[in-house]
Amino acid sequence: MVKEEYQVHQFVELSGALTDFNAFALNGTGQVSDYLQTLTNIVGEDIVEQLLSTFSAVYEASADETMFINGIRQQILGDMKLGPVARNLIKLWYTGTWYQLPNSWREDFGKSEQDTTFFVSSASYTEGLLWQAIDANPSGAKGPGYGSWSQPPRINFDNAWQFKPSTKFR
Amino acid sequence: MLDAAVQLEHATIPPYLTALYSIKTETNPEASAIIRAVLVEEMLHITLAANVLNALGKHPDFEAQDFVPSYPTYLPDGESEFLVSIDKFSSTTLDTFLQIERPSKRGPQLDSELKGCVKRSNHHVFELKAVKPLKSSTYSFYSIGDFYEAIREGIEYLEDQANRKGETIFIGDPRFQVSNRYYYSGGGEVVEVFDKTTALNALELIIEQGEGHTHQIFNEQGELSHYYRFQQLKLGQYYQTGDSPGHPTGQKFEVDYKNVYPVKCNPKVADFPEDSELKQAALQFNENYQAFLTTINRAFRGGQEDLIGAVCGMFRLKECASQLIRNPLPSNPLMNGGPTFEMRYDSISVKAKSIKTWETA
Repeated sequence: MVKEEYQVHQFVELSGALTDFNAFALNGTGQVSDYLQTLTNIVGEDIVEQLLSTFSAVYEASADETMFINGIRQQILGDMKLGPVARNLIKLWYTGTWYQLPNSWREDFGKSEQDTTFFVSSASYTEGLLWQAIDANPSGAKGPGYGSWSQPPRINFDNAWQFKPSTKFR
Repeated sequence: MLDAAVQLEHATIPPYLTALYSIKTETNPEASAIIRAVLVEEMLHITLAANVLNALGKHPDFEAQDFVPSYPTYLPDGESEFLVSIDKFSSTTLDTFLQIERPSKRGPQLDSELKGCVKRSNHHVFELKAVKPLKSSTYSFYSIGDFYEAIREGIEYLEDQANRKGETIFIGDPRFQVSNRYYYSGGGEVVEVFDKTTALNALELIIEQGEGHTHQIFNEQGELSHYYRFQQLKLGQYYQTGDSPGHPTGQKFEVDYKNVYPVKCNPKVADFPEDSELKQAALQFNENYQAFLTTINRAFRGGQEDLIGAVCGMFRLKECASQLIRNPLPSNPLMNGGPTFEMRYDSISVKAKSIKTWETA
């Protein structure tokens, strides 16, 4: 796997673990490369690299799902530097919006000029995972047709992310 | 022949739909808009052809065994020198679209005495039941327009014959006519068909939107025909009023064939690995598509209020198709999946077989 492909693979798996949507669902939004690019533009190559390598290390070191979840909580979500970035990534996937990082983080780790609250694109709004999570259409987009709101939502978890022990990233 | 017309209009939908959804969002706005407009008009054409058929006391059968072709396929109007595939949007795909929508040949260009037909040295075995002019097995229609012209002439002839006997061929139940009330506004107004005049109006609308009216680029409503719409993408320039065929002078634009998902050409469920999400999604899509055709079938057989639900179904199908198109094949990450449009006509026999096996056990 070339470096770029490897990074995309890691990013999709990290996003899967954080959002609980598998690679098929994430690829299906068509947003993978845009989001990785957005993240890199704002927090920089080094932090992205650190986030992804920490994720891979936790994944590979975990014998079961409980170990993996604890590892992610402690080493990513609980980390001063990586935690806010990972939380932003969750929000980005669910809403299509990049939210400006907390001020404390910006003061400690750098203020990017691009770090403002914005929609990545019009497609990122319509492809937000929140719509899939509640089986609703994004307001003003992806019109599902007259009267469709009268049908109950059809929520299923077919495309949930799964931890697979002994997975090697490289 | 109208059976074949409904089938023909439908046969163009999977290729147009796949090409459209293969274009990455926010790129190629011109190509997306043009393919989408043509696609929506094809759906209108299905409705119009079905209305004519219903007016004649017959009904289209969207559930018939051979209704959805196996791609690549020849079109059911008899064109045999090109195959139609389910594929990503590309220069080659666009060439096929131009073939599908090509204007008819006229006058000295025609090499046969039969109207709208060309002589073929060898007839291929068509995937779909092909419609050929009577008395000849070596002639077939050159274009979709010619095919519809033949239908139009047939209707005029038969209705005149019937009228002479004080009868009419328009014996269909008017309640089976799909109206604008339930048709989800797209591509134009639906013509309800009750007699010769309305039937000819419906067919005229199909011909005008498809190949253009008497070889003009624009029709009387100023609408560009499908062939010239696609040609704009080929030439990277829009037509404007006063232009002659092949020489648009409107705004120029660039078509970017790189910003397209690399959909596998004519994908089949068997191409996707067992237990892959891709396979599950492809099966799900096909199942939903077949259910959608069943709903459409009901709609054209007196239950037109079902079209409301069918529209919701169409949006769900779009989501599912897009997901397939955006996901790489696990076996070859350089190529993506896509909807396969493989219908299961053996479900009843499979069911019967499984019951039998269970009983034997």
